Amino acid sequence: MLQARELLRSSGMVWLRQYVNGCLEAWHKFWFEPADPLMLGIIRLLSGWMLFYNLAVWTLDLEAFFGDNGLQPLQAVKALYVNRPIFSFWLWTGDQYLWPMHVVCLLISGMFCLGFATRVTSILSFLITISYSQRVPIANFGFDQILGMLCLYLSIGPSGAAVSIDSLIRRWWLGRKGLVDTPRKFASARVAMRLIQLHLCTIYFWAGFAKLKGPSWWTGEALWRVIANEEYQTMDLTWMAWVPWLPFLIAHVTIAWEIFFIVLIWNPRLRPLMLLMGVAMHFGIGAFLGMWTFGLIMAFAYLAFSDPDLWRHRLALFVRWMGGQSNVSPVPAFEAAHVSSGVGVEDSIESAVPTMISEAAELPQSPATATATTSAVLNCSATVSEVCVVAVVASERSTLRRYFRDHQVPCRIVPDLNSGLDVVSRYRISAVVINTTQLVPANVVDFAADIADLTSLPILVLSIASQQSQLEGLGAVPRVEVLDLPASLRDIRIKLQSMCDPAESPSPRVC
Amino acid sequence: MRDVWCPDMLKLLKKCGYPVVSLMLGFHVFAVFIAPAAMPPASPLLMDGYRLALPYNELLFLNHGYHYFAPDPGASTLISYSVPRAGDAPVVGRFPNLSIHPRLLYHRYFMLAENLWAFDDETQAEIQKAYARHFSALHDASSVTLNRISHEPSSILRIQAGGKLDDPETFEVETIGAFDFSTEASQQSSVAQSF
Repeated sequence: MLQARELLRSSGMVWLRQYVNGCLEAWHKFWFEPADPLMLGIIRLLSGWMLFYNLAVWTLDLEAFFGDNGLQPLQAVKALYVNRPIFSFWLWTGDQYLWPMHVVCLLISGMFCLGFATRVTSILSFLITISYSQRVPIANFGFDQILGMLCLYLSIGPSGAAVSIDSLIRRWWLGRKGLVDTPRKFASARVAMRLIQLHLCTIYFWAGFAKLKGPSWWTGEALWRVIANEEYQTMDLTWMAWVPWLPFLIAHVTIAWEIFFIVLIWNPRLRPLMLLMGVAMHFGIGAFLGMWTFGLIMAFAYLAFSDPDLWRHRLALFVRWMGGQSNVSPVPAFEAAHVSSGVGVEDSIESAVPTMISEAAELPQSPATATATTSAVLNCSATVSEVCVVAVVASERSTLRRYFRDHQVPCRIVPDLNSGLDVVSRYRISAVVINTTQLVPANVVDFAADIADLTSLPILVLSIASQQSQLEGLGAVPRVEVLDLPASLRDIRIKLQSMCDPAESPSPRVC
Repeated sequence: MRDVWCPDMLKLLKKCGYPVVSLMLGFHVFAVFIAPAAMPPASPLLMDGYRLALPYNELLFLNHGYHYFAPDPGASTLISYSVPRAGDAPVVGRFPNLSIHPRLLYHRYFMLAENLWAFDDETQAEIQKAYARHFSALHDASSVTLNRISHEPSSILRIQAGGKLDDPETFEVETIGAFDFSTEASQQSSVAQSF
């Protein structure tokens, strides 16, 4: 009885531990899994444009709105903010600095839009956005709220890492050193995207919920009252009075869409529909209510829900259509989703990418190898070389993955030989590492021979002493080397590097 | 160099930084979510949560209700002004008016008329005075009268019966007040002369 209770308790503890670990892992994946910064770059470009336009429009009536004795006198606004932590540099500057400051803000917003010195200009742009908005609180509307929200998150994430002058400078700088700029992934990009996504969910949830407080949204008249508001209207929609079911229907759909957005947007199948409905709604607000700035900035925020792969492909097509040489990889170098299809196991193929590190280093690759690899590989669209690692044991896979990740070596880790062959034939691989633990030696020899037939990649075989007699066939395969286990991870890395580039000293440059 | 200090530093950062960043993210999401939740009517619990996040939300310009066109889209508000001229008809105008371009600037003026009534009486009085001063200066006058105009949207039945959106019956005018800046101007000029 006592034993049964003890067993129950221990199994309960195991379950609890697994549950907590699962939650922690999910949290980590949700917030910190490195993400392609492309969408942040596009959002920055568009939001920066809106910020610049906003400031340009303020130029037309700057003194009336921001003057010390303008439509919102400085003293009156300051009185509103007594003992409140409100930031606006306009609260501390006088009329004499109005125009010089405004011109500087315009310049900074232009630089932010184009992605120049983005780490600095993104933070400054956020401060500019909130400074203008808080100085004229009575003239604010939804556009200012969303612009402030986007600028905040764009200053957190690496919004200048893509579609920016910064990225062009980086490419030029690496090119001068003979290096290739590779698509990178950032944990901070994931954080920024998640914050935008969750903020949008919050906005729609409460916008929908607040509408439920009003009887006119239940009777359906609310939408009619919006479109019959002459001060908003830019197009006569009074013809809807003869088809009243239409505004009623739109009112009901709007509420349902807003309230359920927070849930349905996370469903991959429903996401396009939800976003399409949102775009239609916001473009309708722009076209019929004249609030194009608000409608557009909301639609721009939707890009946080978009698939960066798809956009890379679109950008590459666009550049090609414009007659240019596309530097945008149609498929990002490290995207596990592309390889995992067909393998069936979530952990089966992993793309190890740098997490906290900004630069993904490439393994040195001799020109001959590079040419041979490129010519041999079918469907190769990635611009970075990766190491393909075959390891059957999950713990060994995760050890190697973590080690390569920590040392900024891009890699694809697979659990069996067939997947390894698949990866080598699909992706731009610079070397293959095979951990023979739990593998049939004859199969390892065949696999190495297959790789050698396809490519001239260096192959590093990690084996224990007892297996080595069965791996003699490897002697006939070119560019294969065997490393005895146990070996340290550092030894593996240095050995791998010396195989990739024999001319280079085995100093840990890559690693 | 990196090999020497980096592992320890990274370990330390990961150890301390990860939970701190996670907590910050959790608090941020809470702050963003609670701000609109506390729009009235709200429970004391929601209000307590709102007050907890208020300084953070105000600092980052996140203290918004997101109640777009809610709970009920109402009448729009305009402000009209009348500047008297000696021996001539007064100059009248109102904002927003469709002659204001681009549309974003029009909306700024629209919000000046719409949002003012959400502030406390003292602020309203001060801002109304600022509006009056602005329009009197614009027309080089020393006095101006401001009116608040509520423009009720026409109902479906009204439009079906041949009504228009700008029918005079849909407008309701309420005088805000007459503002005289002649004393202020003379005081300013006398101050200027004394220098």
